[in-house]
Amino acid sequence: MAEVTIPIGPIHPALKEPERFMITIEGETVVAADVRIGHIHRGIEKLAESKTYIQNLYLTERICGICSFTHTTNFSQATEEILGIEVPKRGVYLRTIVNELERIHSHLLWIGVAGHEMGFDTLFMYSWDDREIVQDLLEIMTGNRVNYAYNTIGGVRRDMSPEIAQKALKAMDKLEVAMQKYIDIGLNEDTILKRTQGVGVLSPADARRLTAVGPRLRASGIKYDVRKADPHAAYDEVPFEVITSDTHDVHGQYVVRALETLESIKMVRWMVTNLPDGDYRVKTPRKVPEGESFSRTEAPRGEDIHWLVANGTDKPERLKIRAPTYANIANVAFNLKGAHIADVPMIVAGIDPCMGCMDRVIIIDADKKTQTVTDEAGLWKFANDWYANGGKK
Amino acid sequence: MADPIVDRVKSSLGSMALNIENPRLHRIYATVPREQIVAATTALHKEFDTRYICVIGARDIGDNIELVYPFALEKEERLIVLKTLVPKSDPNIDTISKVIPGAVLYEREAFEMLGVNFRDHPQMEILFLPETWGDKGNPLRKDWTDPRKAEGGEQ
Repeated sequence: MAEVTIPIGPIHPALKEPERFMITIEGETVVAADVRIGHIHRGIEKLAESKTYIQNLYLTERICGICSFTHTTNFSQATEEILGIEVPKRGVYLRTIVNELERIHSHLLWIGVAGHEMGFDTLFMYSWDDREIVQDLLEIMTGNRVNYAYNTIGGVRRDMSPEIAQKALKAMDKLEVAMQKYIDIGLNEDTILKRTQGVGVLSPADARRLTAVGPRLRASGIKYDVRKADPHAAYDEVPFEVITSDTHDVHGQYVVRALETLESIKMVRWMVTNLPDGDYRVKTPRKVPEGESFSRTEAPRGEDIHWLVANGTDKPERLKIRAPTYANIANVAFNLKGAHIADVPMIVAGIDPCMGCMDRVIIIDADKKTQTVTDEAGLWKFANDWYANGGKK
Repeated sequence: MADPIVDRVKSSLGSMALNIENPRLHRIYATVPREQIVAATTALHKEFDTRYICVIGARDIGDNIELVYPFALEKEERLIVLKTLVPKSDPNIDTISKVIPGAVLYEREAFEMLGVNFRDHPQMEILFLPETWGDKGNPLRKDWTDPRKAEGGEQ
């Protein structure tokens, strides 16, 4: 049967972020997949070198619109490590609380997106409605719904009053009831089972080889979570379980995310109840002495790492950021090959891709024929020549 | 308290390691000469079964480019960082993607952003930069200036 290549994107009604897929199909089976993603590279690493540490907090916040807090946590932790500053316990706990609230809202968002991708829009409506509970709580706590501007070098910028703590506990009760509903739906709903079971199967060996991270890795049965493996913030004190699944498919990812959200709810409750007294931030110098540090956090989508090198001035020497989708995109390209074309959206949605974080990645299959891409300058030249010759080549 | 993992890193790297630091728990930094980056990666891979590479970081430090290879250990829960220097006058280094397949994309990023050439890489092409980038240089080098600025065009 003849092979057909279908281009999807970068701008396409079915896509939420700019990315381009060149999917070569034979019949209904994908034989080659070329993912060319992230037409939104913003040069943040270069920009970071020309901004002060405080300005960079706001810059790193804007790497992603969903997991913004994990980037500022990483940046603050890296800077604090070089400065040799110990953040007060209360500040660490508040930071961890917002980190977990972010995970809850991100996972609820994913459940909605996954429902939407499989044509189950009712699930999308319900889960995004319940997501408002945590969004409201974030707004009360930090002042913002999306880019919270809550972290700062040396702690957090606002305290949590007893009234807000009460509201948080009430919100967690509500969310727990809601999450039980999504777990029930995920385990029993025919639409979800039919569209996710056996789709995008990634064996543990492949997950390791292709450097999968986050829920994708844990859905492949590997018990690895940066919160346990490299404890940061208050994660070495908060009790929680690392959730894994042995089904290795997209359904496993649904289960991992849903159960992880329940764990996060318990963690938030535990932290709000056991919130230490005292200061929530310390003053830090503007200039950071020479040094370097690696900071890792478990973002909702997986491991996020910042490598910061300081040179003694008030601006970083180098900031390298590796967001989770960048690590996960290799296994998506691997899983797309051989998949049914109708499963493509589920496989891509499975890792909860965040193109804004990842910037721009191109993966081209080795056995795929090369294609020529005419660049802008070439096109201009062609057009000018064409007109100069009176419409002849 | 001495970290037993540091001793294992020391013994597996042997004379390849020019310097080993352990600034805090969970972090081990080892500097190796660039000729031995593949040998060092293979030695760590044998000793700790390192499959997971977080990223390859590269930065411009004057006459050299520093490359860092952080490996996250799954069982031992450490971050081992291999460091090496590549002179700008001869910016070549062997690829580690034969040992660690996950390094492919990160090496491409270091290639386009800082102009480090990874020998024997399966696909040494630009990754994030636009296809029309051409010879506009390596943007993360400190001496790089935007050629589009000089032309007065849009940036």
